[in-house]
Parts: sequence; structure tokens; C-alpha cells
Amino acid sequence: MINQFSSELSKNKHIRIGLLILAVISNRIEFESFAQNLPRGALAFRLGMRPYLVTSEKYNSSENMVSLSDEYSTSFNGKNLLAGRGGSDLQRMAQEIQRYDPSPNNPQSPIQKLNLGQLDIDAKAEVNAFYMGLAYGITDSVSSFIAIPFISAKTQLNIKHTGKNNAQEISDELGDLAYPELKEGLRKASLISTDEVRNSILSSGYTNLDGWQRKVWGDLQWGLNIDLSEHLFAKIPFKNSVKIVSHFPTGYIEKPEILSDLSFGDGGFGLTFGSTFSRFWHQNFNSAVQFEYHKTMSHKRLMRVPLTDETLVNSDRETVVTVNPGHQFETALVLNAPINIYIPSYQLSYSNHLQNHYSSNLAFNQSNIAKNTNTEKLKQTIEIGISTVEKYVKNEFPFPFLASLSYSSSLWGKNIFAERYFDLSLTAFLPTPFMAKTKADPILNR
Amino acid sequence: MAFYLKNFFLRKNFSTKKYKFTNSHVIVALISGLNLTCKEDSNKINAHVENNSKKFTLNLATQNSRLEIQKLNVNPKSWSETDQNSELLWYLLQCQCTPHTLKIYFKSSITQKGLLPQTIAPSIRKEVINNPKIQQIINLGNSILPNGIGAILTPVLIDDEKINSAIREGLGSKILTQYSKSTEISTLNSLNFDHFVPSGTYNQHLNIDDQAVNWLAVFESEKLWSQNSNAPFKTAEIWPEEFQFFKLMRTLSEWQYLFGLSEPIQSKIPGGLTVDVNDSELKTFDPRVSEDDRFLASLYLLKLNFSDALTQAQKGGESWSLPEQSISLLSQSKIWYVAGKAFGRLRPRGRINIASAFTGSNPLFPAETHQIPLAFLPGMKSLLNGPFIDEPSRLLRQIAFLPKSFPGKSTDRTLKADIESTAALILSLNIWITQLSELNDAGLSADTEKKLLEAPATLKKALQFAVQTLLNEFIATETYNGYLATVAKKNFSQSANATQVGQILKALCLAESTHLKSTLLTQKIDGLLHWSIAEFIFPKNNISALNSNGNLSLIDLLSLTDGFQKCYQNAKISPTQTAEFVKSALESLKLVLTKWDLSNQ
Repeated sequence: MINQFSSELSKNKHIRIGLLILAVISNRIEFESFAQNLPRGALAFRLGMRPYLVTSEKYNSSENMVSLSDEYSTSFNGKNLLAGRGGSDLQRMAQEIQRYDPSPNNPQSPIQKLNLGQLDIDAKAEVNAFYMGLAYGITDSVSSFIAIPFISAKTQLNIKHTGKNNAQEISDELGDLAYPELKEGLRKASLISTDEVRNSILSSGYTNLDGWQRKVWGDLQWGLNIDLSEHLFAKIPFKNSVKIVSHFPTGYIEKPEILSDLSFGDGGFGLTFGSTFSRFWHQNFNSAVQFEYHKTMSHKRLMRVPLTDETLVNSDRETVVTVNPGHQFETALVLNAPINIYIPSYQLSYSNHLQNHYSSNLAFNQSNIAKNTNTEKLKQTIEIGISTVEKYVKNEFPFPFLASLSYSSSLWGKNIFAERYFDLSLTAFLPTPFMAKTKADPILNR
Repeated sequence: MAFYLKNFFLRKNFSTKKYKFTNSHVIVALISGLNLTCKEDSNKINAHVENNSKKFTLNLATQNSRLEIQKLNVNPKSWSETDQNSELLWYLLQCQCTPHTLKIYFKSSITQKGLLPQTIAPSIRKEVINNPKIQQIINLGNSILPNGIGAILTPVLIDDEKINSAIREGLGSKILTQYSKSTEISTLNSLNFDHFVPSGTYNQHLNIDDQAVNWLAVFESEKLWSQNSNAPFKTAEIWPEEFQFFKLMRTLSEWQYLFGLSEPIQSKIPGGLTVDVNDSELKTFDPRVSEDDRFLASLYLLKLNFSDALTQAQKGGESWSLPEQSISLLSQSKIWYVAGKAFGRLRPRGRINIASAFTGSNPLFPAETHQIPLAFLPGMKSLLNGPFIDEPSRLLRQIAFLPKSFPGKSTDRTLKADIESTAALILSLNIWITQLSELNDAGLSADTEKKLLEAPATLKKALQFAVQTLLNEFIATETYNGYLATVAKKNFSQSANATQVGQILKALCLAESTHLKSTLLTQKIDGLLHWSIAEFIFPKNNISALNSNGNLSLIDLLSLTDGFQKCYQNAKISPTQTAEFVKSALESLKLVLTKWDLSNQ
């Protein structure tokens, strides 16, 4: 029973999955940008780091920003227990107690008075992503790139049971009316404490209750960037490029027995198709619109699957699950105002990830797992960049490079963290024997 | 919530002083006949009793509407005309508050013809067959008449009346052994030992519900069993106890026959009408030697092959079959209740008053007679565990789910038990737990005691489930006259009627006072008492829609009286104000019932 009481904890795993997806998505957008418009034979190399600020808020399914603990710190009163918030065992116990006085309008009925206290879960995650990428100009309009993130993650969980627990009072009030199993259930419920909760989680076969720390790889990306401006769209005043990116599942995927770990990959092979339209409106101002579609292919993953509504799933429910991730769409508006070597910019992006689907040979409650896997996010990014490319082309600077510092934050969302992070990157360009002989080509302009 | 109701009563001037009936009211009402108007303290209390030959209505009301007992419709027919109404009789016997009527019942019942002629009753049959005089006549007929003729003429030579007369004399002498000064029973020239009361118009059917009432008469009434009865109507227990004793003899014989516990006659054991959950074949059942879990069905059909008493005694000639039927919780609970009551009465500490019938060199009853009711327990266990109580789905069934022996209708499987059945089950479980919790003096073998060791705990769990079901299905907290009150519901939209409320109160109060000590249950009982008194006994004008019935029937009155009695005597009614309410309500009900009872003298 106490196992069920603490079942809410496992939802934290879902929180972290959300965080992971977010991180990967963010990386995905920016990897290819440095590969745009590379001249034939040019090699670009980028290094970057992205420290995420420790976040304590999220957007819930109602699109409201709430404290992380608001949703996952549950009051175990009669109403919540009846609704299954304490797991199936406590739900059955509550249903039995309700049978002694089912009247909903009697505040003095045992079920209305029942309160087993509150479960507070204080969860924190420190994530620092490092990434490296290599791009090569195959032709003047086609470049290829490859990139992979490396992530240092540290999570901390603090599980607490607080508040007054009146299970014994309810048991005393019922007296001999309560049959032995119910009395025993109430007795155990009256003993619920932080230690009990932790022990129950451990007895369900979970580890790492206090946190998890790991340095892991993310998903490897390899893609092509094709500039269509001088071909298909030569007569319109926009520059246009498309990209095709394949994602390889090299990233760490959370293990079912670890309570506090995070995934840093999609788990399956994926493809992204994107297109960017940009235009210089003025010498010191240009804008771009980006569209992107991503799909991670169906893949198999080891998971613990709930039979009904339990969220702390016992180890005997571990099985191979076929995950069919939902489609993902993203669009962004980018405004740049280059002044000399400085390029301040502002980006507004919206992304929508549709619900995942899960299936297995073992019967389980599919909707329970799929719940809240649909996410939406509106994010802004402010960036200051430095580009010496033009200076280098004009022989005013000894070598070309791009450097940028940006800050991103969520403006709105659904089922997703209110993320905030900095991003620092440095891109260097190296000549190869296949590079064009002239440096006059302004193609390295962003 | 009780507090609110109390305030309600106080606000409406329902203080006990203003509606309390005194003895003088009762006496005035009793001596005034059927056309009566009595007044006391000017206009405070008026009692109107009208007689319109078909029915009379008793309406006690204050002129200023501060006090009103609801209109009471009572069937004015004498008891002898209604004594086949087993439902009414069940309530009369449980209430024990109409002694004159019960005397008439006892008297008529011991002279009544039964379903199974007394010469087939195993003990009588054996006596008849072995009677020297009868044997002499039979032998005489066979020896002097041609072959075959003797068999024809013997019944003529020994007619039914002679045999019945001999049986009467024999039974009378047995009773005189126990009650040497018996006078009334010796004057009854139609005393007979027929078994089983006929079932209404279907006089070939044995209906267990009817039998249960008949058996209840023996074991419910304190008269026979205790000199120091606490029965509230003790002073009015006016029937001779030998009437009850006679019915005891007959009941034990009937049980012996039903289970097939007597010795074989002509190499065949008489009777044996038990069935089990997997097989509806009628068989004998002795739990001392059998591991089966057999029980009595609800309805049996009897066919008799011979009409004269002598041939019946010689050849038996009865055959039993099972008509299509279902096994109802109400019917079985009544049997279990009576059996539990019987075990308590017949065990050594319960039979002190008639101990001599069980002792001596040639006792009337064997010392282990009290073990006969234990034969009902295995069937009770098997029926409760699954057929009636579907524990996984928390369902108490009205009809036992017995697909192999009694398939019944498909809808029976999910039919929830009603108030009557649930309350009856609570009563039966309660009494058995009481009896089985202490077996030191029961004189049982070590083996039997071992078998019964876990029974109280198992039965208590069933009791807890039944009470929980009753609270869940039939008790609600609702706004009543502007206040939150604990009310009894027949279903989602209808309040329970007075009969049902009486049953609920009795069941809950007895359970609470014995095996289910519970603050919650005490509060529920307290609330129900306040509500039921306001609803049925002293309703104010324009009572809310919850007051579904303007009139109370005789059964309503008996049931409410019984319920209030049990709560008043046994339950922890607190605070005192509740007890005062109940006491006043009881006095009012007794007034009406006593009036009716006296009319049956």
C-alpha cells in the first residue's frame, strides 16, 4: 500500500523526459546553422556549451505555469485517494471507507475526513550540454554537417511526507466496523513517513532515490544543407535553404529501474526536414523564417508499464515497449541587425510535439503512459554574435570565426518545463585543398 | 447532525414533557372501547378510535399539532383469521409485544393440521409401528382373513381417529411429565404432531419461510426459557409455557426429519431434504459424519401416496421434490437466525428452565439435542462464501448465485440484497457469533469445537460486510427540514418505510451492542433514531417529501417498536436526550399495539 502511496514519484521521470526532449530539440535547431552557405571545400568546426538554469516551474496540461511541486506534491485526502492519486491500493482502501458513509454532502463522513498527509517532491536538475559539430561545403550550395552533444547531468530528488495523518483516527472511529484487512491498511497508512515512502519505492525495485549524475552522449546528427537561392528561387527576393537531418540514437535513454535519471536522446532513428527563408531588408537588418518537421521512427525501449492507474510500477512489469513518437512541428522567426562585426539577433519559435503511442505484448494502461507526452512551447532567444567573416574576406581580419552568446527562455507552454539557458558557441573555418581559390565570395555571410 | 435535529425538536416545542404518554393515557385508551374520545389536560391530547367494521383508525394528536402519531390502519380481523400470514407473524414474534395475540397463535398452532401427517413423523411412526395393540390387530386381521383382505381391512379396524387419539394421549403424557400441573393443554382435544405448516393455498408445498416463523415462535419467546426475562412485555406473557414446549418437541422433530437424523425405519432413513451448492438432489445430512456443506432449499413439493394413518405409518409413502425456485437471502437468513436462537436456547446454560427434559435415565430429549442447530452452519458457510457474498465486487446478493444447483434467472447474479434481506442477515450473523464465541459450556466434542474455532472470526467478517453494505446502500445524510440528518433510503429517490427502518434499527443496534463497537455506528444509530421519530412517530405538519407514507400499518408499528426496543435496551444511545426521545416513542407505540392486542383476546 505504501508503495502505491509514493507512486506519484515516478511522474518525475516523465518530467525529466520532457526536459530531455526540450534539450534535444534546442540543439537540433542550431546545429545546422553554422553549415549554411559554406563555400565548396570549406570546413567549419563549432564548439559550444549550453548551461541550463535550474528550473522550478513548468507549464501544465492546462497551459498554466505552476510550481513543479504543485502537481507532484499531492495531498492524500479522501477525494484524491478515491481518484487514484495514491495508487490502486489506497484507492481501494478509500473506496471501502466511503462505503460506510457515501453521502457526498456530509463533511463528517470518514471519507471526507480522511487525510494521510502530503507528499512533497522537491526535484532539481542541473544540465550542461556541450556540443561539437563539423561542416563541409560539398558544393557552393550544398554543405554537409555532423554534430553530437555531450551532456553533463545531475539530478536531485528530495522526497518528503508532511502534514497530519489521521488514518488511525478514522480506524478508531470505525472501530469494530472495520474488518481486519481495512484496519491493517489504515494502520499501515497511519505509519506513512518519509522513510516509509522511500522504503516502499526501494522495495518496488527503484534505485537512485536521491538523485543521479552522469556524463553522457546525446543523439548524433548528420545532415545536408542545400541553398536553393540561385536555383529554384533565383527570381524572388528571398534566400532559401532546405535541410535534411538524420538522427542516430546514440544518446542515453533512461533506465526503467532508475528513478531520477534523464534521457538525452529520442531512442530511435529520426529525420528532420526544414526550410529557411531569409531576406536582407537593409544593410543592417535581415530576417528569416524557419519551418521544420521532425519524426522519430518507431522503436523499442525497455520500460515498466502500469497495469491500471499505478504510476510507481513494480519491476515485474518491466517489458519491451514499442514507442511510436508523435510528429513534431516547429517554426521560428529570426531578426538580425548586423553592425560591423556584431550581430545582435532575436528569435521567436513555436514547437508542437504530438502525443506518443506505446504498445507491448504485455497488457498495460497505454493512456497512462501516453498522457502528457504532447507538448507545446513558445520560446524566445536573444543573441549577440560576432562574425569576422566579412573582415576576413576583406583582409581586415586574420582569420574567420563566429562567436555567439545567447539567452533563451520559454514564454508559454504545455506539458513542458519553463526552461532557461545560456548558449555559448565558437565556430572556426578551415581551408581544405578543395576550397575555392577566391576569398571574395561573400558566401560566408550569415 | 444529531445536534441539529435535537435543536429542531426543541425549536418546535417537541420537548419530551409535551408528548410523553403516561400510564394513565394507556389505561384510558384501553378501557374506552372502540368508540372513544379521551381528553387530558384540556386540549393537549386527543385520541380518536373509530370502528367502521372493516378497520379502525387510531389517531392521537394534539389539537395544536405539537404532537401527532400518524394515522394507524390496523386490520381488525381476529388473529385466527390471519394466522397464516407468516410475515405478520414474524414481526409479532420478534416484537413480543402482543402477548394476547401470541397466545391465540400458540393455541391454534398446536392444534393445527400440518403438511406432513403426524404418523409419518419419524418418532410417531416408529411408535405406531411398534405399538403392541396395533400389532395385535394387524396380526389378527392377517391370520383370520384370506390373503390380502387383512391389509384392506386393517385400516378399518384401526381408524385414524383411534391412532390420533392415542398419539394425543401419548403426547399429553409427555408434556405432563414436564408440566405436571398442566391444565390448558390437556383440554385441547385436537392436539396434533403434524409436521410443517402448509404454505397458504398451495397446501402441498413446504415453504421454508413459513417454517422459520413457526420455529421462531419456540425460541424467540422468553416464556419457556427464562424465569428472569428482561422482555419489556414480560408481565403480559400470558400463554402457558407448555404450548411452547409442545412446539419445541415438534420443531426438533421437524429438524430431525429435514436433515434425516433419525434412525432408519424399515431400512430407510425418513426425511433428508438438504441440497448443496453443486447438486439439488435431496439427501440426508449429518455434519458430525459428513464434510459436505448442505442446506435447506426454499420450497419443497410433497406427494403422499396413502391417505389413512396406519398405512402412512407402516409404509411412509411421502415423496418430496424441488419445484423451480431460487434461494433467497431473506429466507436463508431467517432460518439461520432461528437456528442461532435455538442453539442459544438449547445449550445447557440456555435450557436451565427445562433442564429436566434433557436429564434422567430416560430423558425426553437427548443431552446433545442442542447440536441439531449446528447442522445449519455448514450450509450457511457455503452459501455466504460466494453465492451470497461476492467479495471481489463487494456485492451482497439477494438471490444466491448457484449455477449448478439452482440456475435461476440471469439477472439474479447482480441483484443487490434489499433492506429486509440485509437486516435479516445481520441479525443471523450476530446471533451466531454470540453463540459460537463461547463454547465452554456447550458440551461439544473436541472435534466439533475445533471445527467451530474459526467460525466467529469468519462470521464477524461477514457481519462487518453486511453492516457496511447496509450503511452504503440504505443510509444517507440528507437535508431534512432544513438540517442535515441521517436518513434511511429504500433506493436513491425514496425513503425507507417504517417497517424497513425498524429492521435497520434493530439490526444495527444489536450489532453495535454486541460485536461491532463503533463510534461511527453509534452516531449513525443516534441520527437514525432522531430522524425516524420525526418521520414516523411525531411528524410535524406539512412534513417534507421524505415522508412518503401517511399511514403506518400494523407491521410498521411492530417493526418500529421492535427496533426502538432493541436500541433502547442494547445500544449506547447517547446523549440522554436521544434515549428520552426513544422512550417516548416506544410508549406511544406500545399504547397503540396494546390496544390492538387486547382487541384479540
